[in-house]
Amino acid sequence: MERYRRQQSELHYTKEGKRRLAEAVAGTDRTRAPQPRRRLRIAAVIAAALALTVSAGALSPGIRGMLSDALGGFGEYAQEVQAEEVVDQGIALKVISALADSHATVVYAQARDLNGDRLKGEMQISGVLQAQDPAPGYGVVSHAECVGYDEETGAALLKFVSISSQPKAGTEAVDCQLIVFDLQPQQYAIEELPLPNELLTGETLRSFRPAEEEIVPDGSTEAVPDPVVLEPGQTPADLGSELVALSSLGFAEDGRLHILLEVPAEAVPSGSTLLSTLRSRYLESLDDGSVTPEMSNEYYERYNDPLLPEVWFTRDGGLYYDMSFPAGPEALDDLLLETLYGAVSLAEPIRGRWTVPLTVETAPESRMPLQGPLDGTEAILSPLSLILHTEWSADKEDAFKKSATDCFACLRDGSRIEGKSWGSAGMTGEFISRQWLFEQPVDLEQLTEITIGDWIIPIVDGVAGEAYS
Amino acid sequence: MELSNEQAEHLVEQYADLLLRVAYAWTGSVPDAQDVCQTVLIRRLTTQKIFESPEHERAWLVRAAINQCKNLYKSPWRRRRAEWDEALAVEVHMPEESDILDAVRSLPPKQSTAIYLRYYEEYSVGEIGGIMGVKPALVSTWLARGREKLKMKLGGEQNGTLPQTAE
Repeated sequence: MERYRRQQSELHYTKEGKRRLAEAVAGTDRTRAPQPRRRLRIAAVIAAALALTVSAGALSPGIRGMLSDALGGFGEYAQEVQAEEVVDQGIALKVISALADSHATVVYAQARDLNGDRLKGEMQISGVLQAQDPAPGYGVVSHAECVGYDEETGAALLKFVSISSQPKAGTEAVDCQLIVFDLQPQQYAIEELPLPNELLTGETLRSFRPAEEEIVPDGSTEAVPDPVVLEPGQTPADLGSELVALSSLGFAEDGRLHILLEVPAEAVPSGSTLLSTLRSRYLESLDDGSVTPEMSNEYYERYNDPLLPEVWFTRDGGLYYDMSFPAGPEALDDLLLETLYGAVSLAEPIRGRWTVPLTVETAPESRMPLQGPLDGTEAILSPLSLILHTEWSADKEDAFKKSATDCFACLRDGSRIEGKSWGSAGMTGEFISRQWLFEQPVDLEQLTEITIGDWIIPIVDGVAGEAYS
Repeated sequence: MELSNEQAEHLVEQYADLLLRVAYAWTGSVPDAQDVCQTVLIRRLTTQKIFESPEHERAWLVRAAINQCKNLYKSPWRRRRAEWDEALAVEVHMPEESDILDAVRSLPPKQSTAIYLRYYEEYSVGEIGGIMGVKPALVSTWLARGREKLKMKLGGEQNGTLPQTAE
C-alpha cells in the first residue's frame, strides 16, 4: 500500500508543466514554439471542445437533442464528422455524425433551409449512402429517413443507413459518399384504405373531358391525351383519411372503370401518388394451388393497364385525381377493387443533388466461426451490428430459415440488446448472409450469448460454442 | 477565448495532478492523460455550475475526467497509447520505481480507476460509485478483481501490495 501510494504520488506535473498547462487553459499562450504531435493533439482537443460550443449556432439545441435521442447508447461511440456543408436549391446539407463497421454504416446529417421553412412536416428522402462496394452477387441495403424537424431553425435531422451482405476483413475506415437527390416535405402515406366495392354498379356515371386549364400536370407521367374523367360527387364516401376521400366510383362514357378521389386543394400532384388494383373475384375464389402464374397474368392484364392512366384536375375549387381501368360493365360481377395506397404531398418536392464524401473509422469486430448445426458459418460482431455469412448449401439454407428474425445479444450482467434484422441475401451455390443492427451498442467483452430465433449461440471469452435450438 | 490567468493557475495548482492521475489510471498514457486534464480544466472554467463545497467540486472534476477519458479519441472504438518520449519529461514527472503503478495501469480502466480512487484518494466505495455512476456493489467487485489480478501479476508479494481487507 505504501509503495503504491509513493509511486502514485511521484506521478505529477512539473513546475514547468503546470505553467504550460495554465497558459494553455487560459488560452494566452502565443509565444510557444511549434510543438510535437502530442501538443497539436491537445490543441485539437481544445479546438474540438470549443467547436462543439461555437458550432451550437450551426447545430441548434433542437437538432442536437434529436441527434442525442437518435444515437441513444451509441452517443459515445459516434464520430463527429469533419465534412463540408453543401448547398443546392437553397438547402444546406451537412453530415454531423457517423458510425461504421466493416459492412454497416450509419450517417446523420442536418438539412437546413436557407430561405425559409420548406422542410417542415413529414419528409421523405431520396438518397443513398454509398459505403460499401460488394462483389457481384452481393447487395447493399440502403435506407434514408427524416428523424425530425426543428422549427426554430428550419432544419431537419436526416439518417442514412447502408448495409452490405458481404463482410469484409481488415477495414479500418470506410470511404463513403452520401448522395441526396430528392427531398419531399409534407408527404403523408396513404396506407391500405379499403374502397367501397358495394358502391360499384353497372350504371354509366356522368363524365366529361376537362379543359386544358383544369388539368394539373403532375410532372412525372405521360399526359393522357383528351382524357375522360368522372364528374365529382356522384358516389361520395369517407375512406377514413383526412387526405383523400372517394368522390365518384363507376364506369364512364369511355367504357372504363374509374375511381375519382378528392384531395386537399393545397395538395401537390407532383409529390403525390395514389394507386389501386382491380382483381378477379373468380381467381380469389380458387385455391392457391389452382391458380397458375399464367392465369394471374391474364386476369391482371385484362383489368389493369401496364401504366395506370391518371388525371389530376381542378373543378369548382376542389382538386381531384381520376384513375381508370380497362374493365367494362360486362365484368362487373368479377371485379374486386383492392385497397387504396400511396402518398399525398402538401408541398413541392425539392429536387437537387447534394453529394458529401466522408471517411468513417470502423468499430473493432469479433469474428467467430460457429459450430454445430451452423458449422462453417462465420459470425462477425461489432458494437453496432451482427452479420452471419456462410457458403451456400441446402442444409444451411434450411438452418438459416430460422434466422430470418430479430436477434438478441446477451451480456454478463443479464441484459439483452435487441438487433433488428436488416435483411438477408443469398445466391444458390454461392453464399448465404444475414444482417442485424443493434438497438444499443454491444460491449463485446461482456457478451455471453447470441440468440437468433430458435438458435442459441453461447459465447465464452470471445469464442462461440456449439449452437443449439 | 481568453480566461483569467489567475483562475487558470489556481485550478491547475489545485487539481492538475489529481486529474492527471485519474486520467492516467484510465488511459494508461501520460500524453492522453494530459489531454484529458487540460480539457476538463477548460470545462471547469467555462461551466456555470455552482459547487456546494470543495469536495463537491473535486468529485465533479474526477467524474468529468473519467467521462472525458471515455470520449477522448476521435476514433473512440480504439485505444491508442502514445509513446512516452523525453520531451514529456519536461512537463510530467514519472516515478523512478513504478512496478506497482504499471501493474495497476495494466488493469481494465474501471478497475484501475477504482483502485486509484480507493487507495490513493481514499474515497469510500459509495463515493466511488457516485463518481463513476455505478452501484457500490459493482465498485467492490472491481476492487476485488483488481486486487486478485494484481496479486497474480506481482507474485503475491505482501509488502506494498494493496490490502486484502473487505470493503
